[in-house]
Amino acid sequence: MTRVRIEGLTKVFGKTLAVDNLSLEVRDKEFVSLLGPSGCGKTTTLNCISGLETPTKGDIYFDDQRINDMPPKDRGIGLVFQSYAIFGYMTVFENLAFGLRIRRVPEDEIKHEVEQMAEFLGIREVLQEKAGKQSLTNLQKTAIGRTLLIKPKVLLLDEPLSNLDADARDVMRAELKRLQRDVEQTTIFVTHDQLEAIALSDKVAIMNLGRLQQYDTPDVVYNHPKNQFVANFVGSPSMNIIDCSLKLDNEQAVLVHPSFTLDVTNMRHHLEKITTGSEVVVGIRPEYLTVTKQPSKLSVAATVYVTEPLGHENIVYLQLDGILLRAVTPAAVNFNINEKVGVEFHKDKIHIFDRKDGEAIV
Amino acid sequence: MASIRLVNIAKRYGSKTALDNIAFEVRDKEFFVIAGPPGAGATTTLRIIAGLERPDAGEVYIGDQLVNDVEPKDRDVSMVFENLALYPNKNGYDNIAFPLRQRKVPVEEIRSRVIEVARMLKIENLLDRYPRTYSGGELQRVAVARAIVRRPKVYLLDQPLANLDALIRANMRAELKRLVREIGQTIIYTTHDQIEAVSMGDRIAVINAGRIRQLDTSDGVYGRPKDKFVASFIGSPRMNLIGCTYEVKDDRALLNSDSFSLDVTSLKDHIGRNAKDSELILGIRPEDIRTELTQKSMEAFQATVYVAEPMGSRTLISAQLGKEKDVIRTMVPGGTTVKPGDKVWLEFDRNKIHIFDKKTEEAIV
Repeated sequence: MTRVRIEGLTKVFGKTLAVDNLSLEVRDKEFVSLLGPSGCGKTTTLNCISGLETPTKGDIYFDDQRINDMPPKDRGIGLVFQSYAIFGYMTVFENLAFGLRIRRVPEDEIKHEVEQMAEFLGIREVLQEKAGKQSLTNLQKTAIGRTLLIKPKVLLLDEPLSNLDADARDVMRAELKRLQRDVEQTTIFVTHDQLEAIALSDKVAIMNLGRLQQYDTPDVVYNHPKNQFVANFVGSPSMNIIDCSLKLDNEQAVLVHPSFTLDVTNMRHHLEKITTGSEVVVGIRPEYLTVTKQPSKLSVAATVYVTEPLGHENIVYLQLDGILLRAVTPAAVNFNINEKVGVEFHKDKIHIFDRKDGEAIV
Repeated sequence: MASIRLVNIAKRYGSKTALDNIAFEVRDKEFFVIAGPPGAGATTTLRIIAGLERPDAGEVYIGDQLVNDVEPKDRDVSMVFENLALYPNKNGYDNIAFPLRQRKVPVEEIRSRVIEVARMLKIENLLDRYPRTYSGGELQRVAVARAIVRRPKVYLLDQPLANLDALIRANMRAELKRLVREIGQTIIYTTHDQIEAVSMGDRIAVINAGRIRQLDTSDGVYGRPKDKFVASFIGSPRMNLIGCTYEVKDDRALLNSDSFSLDVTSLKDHIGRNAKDSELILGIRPEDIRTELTQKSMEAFQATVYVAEPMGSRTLISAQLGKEKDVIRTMVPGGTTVKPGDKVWLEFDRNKIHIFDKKTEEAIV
């Protein structure tokens, strides 16, 4: 079992800084996701770990061994891609056995290990069938099983679920999470899908433009995003972002927007270092806005822009003086386009970011 | 009047049936969605309406006119394809103006219409720029602008959001829905994405294997699916479907699975009337299962957590009932922490259960 340590990793392609001074540690048995939009550097980071790319600067360690100069085949990594590279004309059994055969493992041992893995993955019944006939889910399980059978120090997964349809992806995501916990395999998973990252991981490393934005548990990145990028990228529907200025005096703290004000005196103690009149960005998740038919003292007036029923809940888009907010509302309540409504902010769920650098203040 | 009526449309490709007896009417100004998995027939249906494919049988009416033999260009429909082929050598303005120029609309009018539609879609800043400089969302908007600038009777949108990344897609969904309300036009929209279908459509035709399974509102396809296919296609994470045997004992009606026995006496008359067989499928959505860490109700069944997946505002738990291998998925509030092996108690909301016939897969309740 293996711990992965990345120190000051930098990778430059021509004039492009693909990864910029990345440091993070993946503990033994941990499941860590590298999450970000395309071009954020997540795949380049994975490729540096696997040895497909050579870092421009920085060091990568497996436990205490520096692996920068080690050939990929000696690193003890298992790699699974989006395209599974399964041999369709071979049986599922033969595909699973592939890595073991190359390593000249005795035949009876191969049989035992492959069957055990197939049992684990729930594909025992199809072992003797041709791989080409299998569902995408079974192919993906086979690809992961084949990789796990060679007992890698570190399992690297590059968008392995993105070829599956929505339902199969839900199934495979749960299976993958359970499997990783059961085999206690150190795993690094690359994805652009925030839901996959928070659902699967012990920790999520969110990247943008080559830089690490936040590295923390799913709970922390969702509830305490360190900056505006993380706040916006994690969560669906995404967090509402509103430009405001902050008015402070000795007792009170008020967020001022051209169309409303919000008393945030409850956060006064977090705002000690901020000067009054500061330009800030307010963030609030759609589930922490309550939409009411009747405006109240606590609510801000808004007009319904459009509604989206999702079955189990609705997303209501609200227009307030040039801004559009998203609110999640119960399925049972219907709102109509252009209806006048009230919006209440859950005050203890407000995030405040510095408008200049996007860093979280509260 | 821009209604559209399809009468018994059939289409085969070689020996494969692509469409089987498709019949529906799209009302004037309706946002009508055809939703199904890839290969189900949604796009083929749209192409037949556009005139890009000929049906083997059946009739297509636009308004009161039978258009089977009308050329696509004369049908007064406008189609936006999934692949947004903008002309790379034309800037935004010229791309949007193109269909008007082709129809020899006067220059002044072209100008005012392009600017109007650009303002509506908030793409004024893209008019001077070329498509290679656009982001995915911008490409989409310019393509939509080009499609709507002509003001045809009917817009046909073939998976217009399919190639966008998740964040842009969510925003475009809302913008497009609002836009459609504003322009008040008849829209037929295809998608593989059930969220797009239920969130945007006035009505949704759920299609599978060339057949329309249900034509209904969002509430209808979500809350009252007519068969097992619709039940599992609409809603994410999908509805739990559990094979059961129906049994009536001493005036009580029970659904027995390998690991539980659910009292459905309140539905007894209904099941008795509609069920042809005792082999049934119980359907229950993840959000319609009350999940507790201790037993709070005699109606609750104990289950073992297989895995828990936090999803921000909610956590999805997959749990195994008794010795069953299949998991039941249940949604709980975000921040709930359970681990594999923990025990939970599941109670099905009796008002939200669905029952399907195992053989015909038709809904009974």
